[in-house]
Amino acid sequence: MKRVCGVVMALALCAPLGWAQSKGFDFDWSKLAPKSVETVEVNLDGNMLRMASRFLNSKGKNSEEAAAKELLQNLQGIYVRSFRFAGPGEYSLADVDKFRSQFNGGGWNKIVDVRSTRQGGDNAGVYLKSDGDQIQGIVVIAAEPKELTVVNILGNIRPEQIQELGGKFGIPDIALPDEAKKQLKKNLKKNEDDEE
Amino acid sequence: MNQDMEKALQEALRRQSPPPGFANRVMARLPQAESESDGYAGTEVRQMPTRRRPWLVIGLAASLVVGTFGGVRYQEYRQGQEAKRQLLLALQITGEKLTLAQHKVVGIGERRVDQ
Repeated sequence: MKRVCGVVMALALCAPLGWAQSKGFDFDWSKLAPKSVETVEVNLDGNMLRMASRFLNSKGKNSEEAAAKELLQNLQGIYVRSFRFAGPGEYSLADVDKFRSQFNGGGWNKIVDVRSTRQGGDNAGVYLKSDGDQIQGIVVIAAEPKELTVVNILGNIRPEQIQELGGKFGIPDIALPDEAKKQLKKNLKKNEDDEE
Repeated sequence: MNQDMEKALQEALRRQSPPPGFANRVMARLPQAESESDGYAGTEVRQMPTRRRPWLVIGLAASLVVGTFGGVRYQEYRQGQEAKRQLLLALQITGEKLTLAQHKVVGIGERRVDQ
């Protein structure tokens, strides 16, 4: 009986850790929700994504849904937290910086990092986790004066798939020339070598 | 198309009252079973012929299976639709925030060029 209790307690202690690691959201979001006037929370694990994929229309090569269906095949999860506030100053930028620090190293590459020190300035960050040519995760952080949003996409994504999504769902059209693609690959490789 | 299907399903599964006199007509068509007295005065027990009983059980079981399967499929359909809605919302938010990041980077680049 004692052994069973021990196993149950160990599982209970490990569960929140697993939750945070799988979603990459090691942050106390619960303190922001009461202050916000609008909250969006999306939690789609692999099974839910597979289920959603069955209802996406795959006809029409250039359609939004067909592109999303293609992307979903190797994804493990999509998690979104978005908080809209009545006025500025409802969340701490120091907390956001602490959150961002999780993506320094550990295979994460900083693709975009905009930091504004002036009052009411926007902060934005885009981070990629990569293994060779394969992207394993994307995190987007947007800290605006009245809005804080974090998107975490987990799973294997090919760079062409991101390009394919360009112009759909409001995602900017990123038409990279071949030279720029080669440079990006080189940079990613260099970052990995530096970490090793 | 999915909304049409949902409407069609709701329409087909809508609860309907039987037409007036339906129960009486059904009762009138039932074969008259031999009445048996079990000792209670005025009590009449109608028994279904024994050879028909297995079919009744099979029919009931089949209805139960079909009903349960249909219910599960409908539940899956609703969950799938909700998952799709959340996915499209997540992709739209992602697109919006990537555009914001792109505008910031382009804006900073332009300011530097101006200086």
